[in-house]
Amino acid sequence: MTAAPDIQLPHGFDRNAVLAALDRVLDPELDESVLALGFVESLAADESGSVTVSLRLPTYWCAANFSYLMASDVRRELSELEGVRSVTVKLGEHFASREVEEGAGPGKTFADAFPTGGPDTLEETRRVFQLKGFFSRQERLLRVLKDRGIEFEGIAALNVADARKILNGDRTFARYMERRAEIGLDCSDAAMLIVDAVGRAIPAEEMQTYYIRARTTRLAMEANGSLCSAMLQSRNANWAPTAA
Amino acid sequence: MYSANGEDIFVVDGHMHFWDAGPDNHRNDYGNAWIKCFYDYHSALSPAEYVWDFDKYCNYGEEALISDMFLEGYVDVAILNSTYLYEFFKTGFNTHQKNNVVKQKHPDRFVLCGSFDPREEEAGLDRFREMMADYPIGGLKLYTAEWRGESRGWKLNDPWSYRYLELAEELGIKNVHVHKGPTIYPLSRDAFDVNDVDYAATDFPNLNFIVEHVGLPRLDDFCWIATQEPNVYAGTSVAMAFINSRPKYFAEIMANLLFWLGEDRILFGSDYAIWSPKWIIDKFMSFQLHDDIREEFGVELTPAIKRKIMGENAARLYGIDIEAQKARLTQDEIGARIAAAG
Repeated sequence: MTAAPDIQLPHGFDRNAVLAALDRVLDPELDESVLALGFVESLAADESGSVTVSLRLPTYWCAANFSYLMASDVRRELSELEGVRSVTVKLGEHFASREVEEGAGPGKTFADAFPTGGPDTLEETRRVFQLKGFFSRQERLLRVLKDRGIEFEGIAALNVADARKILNGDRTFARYMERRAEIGLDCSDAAMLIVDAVGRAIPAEEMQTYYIRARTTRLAMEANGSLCSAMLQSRNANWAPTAA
Repeated sequence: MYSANGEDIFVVDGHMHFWDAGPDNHRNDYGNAWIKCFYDYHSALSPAEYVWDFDKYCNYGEEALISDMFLEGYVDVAILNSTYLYEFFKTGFNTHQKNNVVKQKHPDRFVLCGSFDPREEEAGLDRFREMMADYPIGGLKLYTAEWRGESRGWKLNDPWSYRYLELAEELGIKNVHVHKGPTIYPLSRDAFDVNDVDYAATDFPNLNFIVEHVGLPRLDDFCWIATQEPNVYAGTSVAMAFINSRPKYFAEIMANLLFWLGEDRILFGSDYAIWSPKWIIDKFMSFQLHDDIREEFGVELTPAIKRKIMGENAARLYGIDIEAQKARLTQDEIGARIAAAG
């Protein structure tokens, strides 16, 4: 699953910049980079700046809107790189691969690609999963702080600068702050560390319930990952691969 | 009946099926893809010795069902789902008409679920009245992701859904099971979004909404709604099946349900024939929540709570007097077979 992608670049392309761009694209539901998840199968660019990326999503029935979000994010991130003139995203054997590939092309919206059915707006879906990712990252941060022996009361008193000092260099903290900035919350040193989605600081007496709530969100996000991987395994075992 | 340490536990399987998905019944390739996807769920989470071959899985027949549910599987009363899927299967996947055949042979063993599709609008209201008059419908099973022509799903809070829910209430329905869980190819996952339950549960306070599969993978959305709506219940099929291969994950789901909904609003379901009740019940009755989870959530899964989940909660919703029902069940054909087997 986490095989490194096969990347073919002509002279003059910055391989690290390409990898960094792919790394910025997240699976919205799993809140992990598509690169780290092994979803990027291959990437090839030619001298004219035309790039083709093949994605390999874990299940045939991975929801069309999530596939669409990932495909269009890959396209957007790569388009911003120097020397890239066009990007084509291929989706392999996904049930809606044709619609997603064509729909994620320039100037199309999800509603153009899926005129019947689908979410009200794709941006709404993106926002919902950004928030779920926020709670899920916050729950991991709370666990790290608890593991360091800080009680909920102490956690409720921390501001951003305190936490940076305590968790110097910890990836959990960095990931939390990154998402906190993305959803538009105050990230300054004096801001309280544990805040809800509108920036309200969580008082000590509410912290236990708040933590369990964040934990429920994180569990739900992981659930999808476990179900997907169990289903992928049995799908591969039950049915012989279809001839290409 | 499940017995342990001299104690009998009354079992209601809140969610099971009697389907015909053999090739003769496929309307198109979707019928084939559908049952293959079901089979993937079956083989992904069942213990190896409970995995069937695909042919049996497509069409397992009445005797296998009686044996797996009642003779081997400890179940006393089973809530028999009806799922139509006429777009994929010529005579339907498991319709109330077909389900009623087995219900008539064993009337005390099954609660028969009917259904409605609000996209049938005015004409469907009459069909719904006929179904309620002609069949012993005990509850409803709603399937919001069902295809119909161009439509890929509907919502419980659509205006026509409300007309049907009003009529259902008027005709004496108390319990409405709604599939809100993992999607099955080729259905759209968005059509299983759980948020419409929030509206319907508020506007129909006299109906109970049993959310089948607890909204998985959207357990969090389900929990927030259920916390606010006292008439929303957790149907645990699919979640239960994780007890074998992912016990810690299963424990976390149970802890969440106990924390947010409490012990009186959780119902056991096997989702037979996706999974067999026997192994799930065996594992559940000896299951202990992990210490770190118990401490963190402040919840317990005691024998008394297990009894509620296994049958008492469903019996309360369906007005089943457990002692009277137990006595009746010793008298029917299945009861006689269980007694003969000793």
